[in-house]
Amino acid sequence: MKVYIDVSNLIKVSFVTGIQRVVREVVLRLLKREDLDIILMNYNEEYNIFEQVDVDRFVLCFEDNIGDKEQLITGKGIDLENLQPEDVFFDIDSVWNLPLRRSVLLPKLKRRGVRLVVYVYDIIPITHPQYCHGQTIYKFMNYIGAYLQYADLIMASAQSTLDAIDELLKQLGLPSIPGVVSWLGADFNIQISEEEEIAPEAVEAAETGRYVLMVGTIEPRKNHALVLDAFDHKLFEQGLNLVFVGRTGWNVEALQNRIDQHRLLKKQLFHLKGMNDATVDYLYKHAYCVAFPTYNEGFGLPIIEAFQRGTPVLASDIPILREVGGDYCDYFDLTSWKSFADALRSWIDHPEQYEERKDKIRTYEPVTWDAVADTIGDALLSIKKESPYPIPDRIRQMVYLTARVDDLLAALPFVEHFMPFIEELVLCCPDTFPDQMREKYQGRLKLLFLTDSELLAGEPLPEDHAMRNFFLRCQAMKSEKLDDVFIMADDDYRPLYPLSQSVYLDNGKYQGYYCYSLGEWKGDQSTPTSFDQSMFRTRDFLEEHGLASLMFDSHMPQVIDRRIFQEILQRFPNIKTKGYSDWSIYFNYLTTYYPEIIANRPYATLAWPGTPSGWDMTVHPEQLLFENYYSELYDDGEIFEGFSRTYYDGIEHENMEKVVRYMNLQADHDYARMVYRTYCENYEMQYGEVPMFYLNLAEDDCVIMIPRYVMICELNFTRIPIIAETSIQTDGMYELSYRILDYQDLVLLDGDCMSVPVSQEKYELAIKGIYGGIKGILEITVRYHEREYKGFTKLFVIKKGI
Amino acid sequence: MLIYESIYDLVEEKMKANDQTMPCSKEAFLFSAEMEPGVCDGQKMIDMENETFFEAAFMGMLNRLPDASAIQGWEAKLKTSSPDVFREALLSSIIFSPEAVLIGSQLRNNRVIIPRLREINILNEYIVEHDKDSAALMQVKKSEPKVGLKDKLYKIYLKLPLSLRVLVHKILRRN
Repeated sequence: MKVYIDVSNLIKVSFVTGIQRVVREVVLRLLKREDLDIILMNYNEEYNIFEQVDVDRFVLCFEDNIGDKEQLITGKGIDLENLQPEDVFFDIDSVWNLPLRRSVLLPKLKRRGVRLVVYVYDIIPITHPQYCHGQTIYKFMNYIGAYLQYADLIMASAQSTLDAIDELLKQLGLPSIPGVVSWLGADFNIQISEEEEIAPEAVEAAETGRYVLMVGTIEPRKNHALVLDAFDHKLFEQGLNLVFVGRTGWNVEALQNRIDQHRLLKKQLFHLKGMNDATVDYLYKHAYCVAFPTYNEGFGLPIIEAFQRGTPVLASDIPILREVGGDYCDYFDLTSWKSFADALRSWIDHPEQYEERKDKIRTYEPVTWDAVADTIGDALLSIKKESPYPIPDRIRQMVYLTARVDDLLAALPFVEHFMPFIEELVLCCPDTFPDQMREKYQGRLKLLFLTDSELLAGEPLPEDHAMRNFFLRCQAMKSEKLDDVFIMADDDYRPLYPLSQSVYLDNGKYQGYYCYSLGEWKGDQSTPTSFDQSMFRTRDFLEEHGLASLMFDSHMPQVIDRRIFQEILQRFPNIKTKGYSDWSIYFNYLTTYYPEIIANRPYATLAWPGTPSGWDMTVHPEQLLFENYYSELYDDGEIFEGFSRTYYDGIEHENMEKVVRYMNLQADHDYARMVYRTYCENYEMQYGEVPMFYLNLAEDDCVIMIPRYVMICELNFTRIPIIAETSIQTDGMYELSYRILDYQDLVLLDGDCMSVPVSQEKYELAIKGIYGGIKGILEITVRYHEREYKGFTKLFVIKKGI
Repeated sequence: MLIYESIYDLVEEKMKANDQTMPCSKEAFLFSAEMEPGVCDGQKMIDMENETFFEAAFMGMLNRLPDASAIQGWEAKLKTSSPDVFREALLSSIIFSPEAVLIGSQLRNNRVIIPRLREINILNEYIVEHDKDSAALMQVKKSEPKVGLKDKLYKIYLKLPLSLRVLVHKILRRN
C-alpha cells in the first residue's frame, strides 16, 4: 500500500503558517514510519500532471531548513493510471486552492479503486459562508462536495467538525463516512532563536499595563469588534489594555478604521502586525488573559498556545471551543460584549479565581505532534480490509460459457498444452451439448457440464446476447460444481504460449486485467452493439454505487472467486437480469471492497480490438499472453493470413510472429494517433483553440464547421471527433462521408460513408490517410433528406517516421 | 453534479440569511466543477447568459473568479454589446493573456472567436526541421497572415441569426 500525499501548497507558499504548518508537522513524522510507504506529490499546473517530490530533500528543507524548495521537485511524473486499488490518496493540505479541482481528480482515482482519505480542518465556508472570501467559498464547495461523495475516510481535528460533516451528509442525502479525530499538536517544530529580537513596540505595549491579548488575522469571523466594544464600554476605564496581534484581513475596513482612529491607540489599544515568533511568545507569556471570541473555528490553536504559556483564556461558548478548551477555559456568550466583560471582571474582582484558573492550566498537557501523526498514520493503515475468503494455493478449474462445440474443441488444445495447471473444465452449455462433447473430445481435461436446464431452473432466458450471458453466469455461480476459485473463459480465448498459474495468482493476490475505463467507452457510436449497451449499463451501475469503473472485458480468461461473486449477488439481488458485464462488475467490486487481494494490470490479449484501428485503445498491453480468436482475421488479405487456425505442436513460434505482426500494426496506429494529437496541440498553440468538427443540422439546412486545416498520418485511420447538434425531433438517420481531393479536384480517396442517428451528439469519423507528403482538400459531406451539404478544409498527410 | 448543486443551494441560503450574495452563479459553479484545470468547453457555455458566461470563462480558463478590476473593465461591454461581440472579445482577451499562456489554458469546442495565430508557430518550425518535402509542399509562412476580405465577411456571417445564415447559404448555392 502506497500513500500519496499532495504537498503542492506547502511547497508553493512563501511562509509556513496555519494549515501548512500542520501539514509540515504531520508529513515529516509520517515519513519516519516504516510501516507507511509515502509518496509526496507536487502538482505541475502547466502540464496538468503530478510530479514526485524528493523525500530526503523534503525532510532537509522542512525539518532542518536546508536547501531550496525548487530542488524538491524531481520532474518524475506520477501517472495516476499506475495507482493500485490498495493505494491511498491522502489530502491534508488546503488543496481547494489548487487549480486541479477535486471534482475532476477524485472520480478518476475512484474509478481505479484507490482509497480516498481527507483531513478536514473545518467546513466554515459551508456552515458560515458569510465570514469567508468569495474565492474560498466557491473553491471549498467544490472540494468538500467531491470528498463527501468519494471519501473512504474523513479525519478531522475535532469531533465537532466530524459532527458538522455528518449533519451536512444528512442534509445532502449521502451515506455517512467513517471518521477519525486526531486533534492538532501544540509542540510545533519551531525553535525560537535566541537571536530573534522581541519587537520594541510589543514590549512597550506589554509594559503599559495589564492587557488582554487577541492573536490572529483581523477578519469578521474572529469577532474582534465584540472585545473592542467591551473595552470601549467598560474595560478601558477600568485600566485594562487591549492588544491585537495579527494582520488585517478582508472585509474589515470599518473595524480597521475604528482601530486606526481610536483615541486610545498606542496608549491602551495596540494593533501589532508582522510580529515574529519570539514577540508572539513574549506577548502570550505577559498577557493577563487571551480573548478568543470567534464565531467559528476548525480547532482554535490560540487556546492551546495560551495554555502552553500558562495564560488563561476567555473563549466564545461554541461546541468546538468547548471541545478544545474543556475545563481549562472560561466561556462567554459571543453575541454579548457584556458577557465577555463580566467574565473578565469576575477574575479581576476575585483574584483567587484567576489564580485557580492559572493553577489548573499548569496541569494542561497538550497533545503532541507525535501523537497526532500516530493517530493519522494508524488511521491510514486501518482502512486496509482483510478479505474473509482465503486465497487458494492452486487453481485447477476452467469454466466456459459456450454453445459452439467446434469452436471450443479448436480452443481446448491450446489450453491443454499451454495451461498445464488446468485439470478440469466446467462447461455451461445447451442441453444437447454434453453428448456432442463426450463424443468428440479426446483430450486430458476432465469435463463437467452445467446445462441450460440446470442453470435456468425454470427461469426464462433473456434474448439479448449480453443479457443472456450475464444471466447464465450469475446462475452458474450457485453451482457446487464450480470450485471456489476458477478461471472463467469464452470459447474464443486461446493462450499463445505456455503459462503458469502466476498469470492469475501472484504474491498472494488475484491478477485482474483491464483494457479501458468504462467512463470513456464510446463503442460503435453510430449503432451501439449489444456489447456496447452492456458496457454503458455497467458503467452507470458502478458509478451509481460508488464502485471503481475500469473495463475488465479484456477478452482473455480471468480468475474469479465464486464466493465474492456470490457476495455481489447477495448485495445486489436484482442484477442478474440487468445485462451487465460479469467481468467488470466482479473485478470492480473486488477492487473497491477487497483491494488488498487484487492487483490490476493492463490486459494481455492479442486481437482485441480485432485490428488496432478498430478503436483507439487508451490502455496498452504490457505483454500478450492470449489471443481473442477471430476466424475472419485469418482470411486472405487479412492480418493473420497464412497462419494456422488450429493447434499444432510448436505453434508458439508462429504465435510469436503473429504478435510481432499485430504489434507493428499497433505501432503504426499509435503513430497515426500521435500525429493527430500533435496536430491538435499545435493547432491549439497557434489559434488558442482545440480543432473542432461541428455540425448543426436543421430541417432544411446544415452548418458544417471544420478547422482551418487538418493533419493526419498516411495509410492509417485517424479518428476525428465530431460534435453534432440538431433542432430536429426525429429518430431518423443522416449520412456522413468524406473524400480526399487534390487541388485540381481529382479524387484521391473516396472514404467510407457512415449512417448516424440524427440525435447522436458526439461520435468519431475514421479518416484513412493516403500516401504521405500530400497537401490536398478534405471534403466532408452530410446527406439528409436528399439534400447534400459539404464542408472543405486543407488536409496535410504526413509520412510515417518523421 | 446533483451534490454540487445541493451544496450551492445550502450555502446560498446561508448567504441570503446574512444579506450577502454568492460569489458566482450556480451555473458557472457547476460548469467549473466539470472542467479540467485551465480548460473551457465552448459547447457547454453556448447557452449561458452573458453574466454567467463571463464568470465561467474566468473559472474555466484561469481557475479563479473574475477580480474587481476585470468586473469593472467588462461591465460596460456586458451591458451594451451583443452576446457574440462580447463573448468573442472576452475569450480573445483571456486566451491571449499572459496568465492564460502561463497556465496553458485551453478553449475547446470553440464556436465563438475567429481563430487567430498566436506568436508561437511550433508546428511549422517542426515540419521545416524534420520534413523538407512536406515543408516545401506546405509553403509555410512564418508571418501572421493578413486578414482578408473573406475573413471579415466570415466574421460578419457568424454574427447573423440562423435564418439569415440560411439565406446566405441559399444565395451562395444558387451562385
